[in-house]
Amino acid sequence: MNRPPVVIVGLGSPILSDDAVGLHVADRVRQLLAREPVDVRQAAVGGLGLLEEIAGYEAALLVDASLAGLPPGTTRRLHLAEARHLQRLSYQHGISFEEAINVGRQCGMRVADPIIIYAIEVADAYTFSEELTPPVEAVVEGVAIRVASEARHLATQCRKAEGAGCLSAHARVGTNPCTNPA
Amino acid sequence: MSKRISIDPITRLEGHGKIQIFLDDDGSVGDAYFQIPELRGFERFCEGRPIEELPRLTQRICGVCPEAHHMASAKAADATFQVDPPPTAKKLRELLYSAFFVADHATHFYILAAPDFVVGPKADPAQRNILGVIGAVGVEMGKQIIKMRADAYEVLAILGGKAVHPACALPGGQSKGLSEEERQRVEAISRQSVEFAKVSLQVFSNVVLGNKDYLDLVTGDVYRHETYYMGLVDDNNNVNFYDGKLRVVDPTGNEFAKFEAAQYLDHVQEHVEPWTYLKFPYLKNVGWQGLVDGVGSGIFRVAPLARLNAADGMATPLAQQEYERMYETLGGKPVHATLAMHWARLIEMLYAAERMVELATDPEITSDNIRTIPTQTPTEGVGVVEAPRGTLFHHYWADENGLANKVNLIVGTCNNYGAICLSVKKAAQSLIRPGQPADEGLLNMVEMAFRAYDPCFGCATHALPGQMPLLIEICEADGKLVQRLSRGVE
Repeated sequence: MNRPPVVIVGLGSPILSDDAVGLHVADRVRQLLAREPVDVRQAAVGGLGLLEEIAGYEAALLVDASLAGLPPGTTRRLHLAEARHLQRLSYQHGISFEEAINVGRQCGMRVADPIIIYAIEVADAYTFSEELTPPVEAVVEGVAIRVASEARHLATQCRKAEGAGCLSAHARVGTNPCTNPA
Repeated sequence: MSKRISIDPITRLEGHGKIQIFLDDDGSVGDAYFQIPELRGFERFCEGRPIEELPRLTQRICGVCPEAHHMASAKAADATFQVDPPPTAKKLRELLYSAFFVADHATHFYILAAPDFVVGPKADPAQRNILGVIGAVGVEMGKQIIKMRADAYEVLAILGGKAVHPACALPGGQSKGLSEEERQRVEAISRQSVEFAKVSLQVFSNVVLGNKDYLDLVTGDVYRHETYYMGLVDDNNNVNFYDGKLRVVDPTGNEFAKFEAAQYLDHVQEHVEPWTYLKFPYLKNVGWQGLVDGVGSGIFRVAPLARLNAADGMATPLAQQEYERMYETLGGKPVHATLAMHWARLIEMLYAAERMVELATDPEITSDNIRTIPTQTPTEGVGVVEAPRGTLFHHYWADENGLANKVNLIVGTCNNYGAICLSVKKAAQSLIRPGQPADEGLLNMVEMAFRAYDPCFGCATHALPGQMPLLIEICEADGKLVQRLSRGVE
């Protein structure tokens, strides 16, 4: 069975308070996109493990917790190069997510491109709890709607590009104009 | 006046650690501390939870070895409920666990260890990484590494419900069996894993054993300690990751102790030092003599080399051949060379792959008799497995309602902590010389001393930064305070 072109991955530990916000957003996105050709996943991995979650897709949207000193609930939409400070993307038993992507590409792996990260500023990612703090809980619905909307847009672009016979993942999702239709 | 060199943060290590090396006035190394500024707290979170939930909860300690915690926890839950899983359930667990070992050991070798050998211990750090390894061994090998990992995690997903953080083990057995169609896929991956492990051993042979400088590094005194060794063994004293008795051999290789998991408190005790939050397990019947090695010191080692030293052999034919080759090459048992841990790790990967084939072709593996329903009131139980990073204990106490009222976890990295500190200090004293600048390459060779153990301190400390104020004071041997670390303390 062919996999859909777009994957959404909610990242986090379900028992570390706000660290789970990516999982909560993914739960809601799954409901919003129940009939859409996208995959929604949840994971608590980084590095190669995260690479494996997005391998084979045209585009990936990641949702993760961030501790950057901003007001809790602040949500930033980042490209991979802007998200190196996120703990889960920066280090995983010795290899960062960015390094893992480079390894995958060097080895001919089909790696999603673009990779967009929704970084949600959290208040507490260290206390053992299965509850989100109120300011973080308050933004889950809005972020889920934004993520779902972007996923729909990316999936549509991928379908159009596929219809035009373009083989470039960049061209399919519009990062670069498609100049070489088959 | 003494000087201080810090390596912080340590690279290619899960969790956080800090090495501090203290130089005497003449520039030689007086002492070295491998400090863990993190605090345990996970056990308390488990209190009040139903015992049957702990296999899924405790694996959240860590994203690197959740399968090990899932297995140890399931066995502790079996013991707490006084229930014996059916043979098929045990085989399914061991099959999952063997696939995990293949993926985990391969990841450590190629991503964490190989850069030091394939690219070189003093090479430019920008090149001394997995991309440098692939550049040296070839893209095709890189593709094989990625494919093997993906295949192993497919097996984990088939058996455990998820590729990471499995949800299959319950008190008394498994929640899911294996269909014939799934079995065929698992068997195919298992056979490919055997070939991958054989190739990996060939890479090690070519790169390390074929290079006199590296072989000298492995067998030399810089990375050598004579300690006790502990590991799980089966009825024939062969290495086993999932089941059996714990066996301890002394520094001459003679059996010192052999006991059931439930007796671990009769043999293992923990020592506390004021400069680190991680405790030092040691052999109770030898005693704590400080951070020293030798037959009089209760410090013991766990993880791949320790398991091979503590056993009489491997239970599968190809791994047994490699086991014999390693001891023949390195001068017989036990091997005290810390860097031989890498070779032992690859031998274990081959054993795990062969064991996958054995289990995937076992006629019982597709049986639907996968659970014995518990009927007893849960009381107290101990579960032990061999995690990739060493012997892992889970010990639970339950109240009359089956809720955990006390939990004790001793993880592989904890068991190795004393030995890791020894190794770091000796490497620092051997490599850093008066009048010679300690450049990055030299400091990396100090890091190699602990990297061989594949430590996971996030896991070992069950870290909960922010839970309570932390205060660490580090002193020189004469008691003089040289550094004060605090979190949440003014």
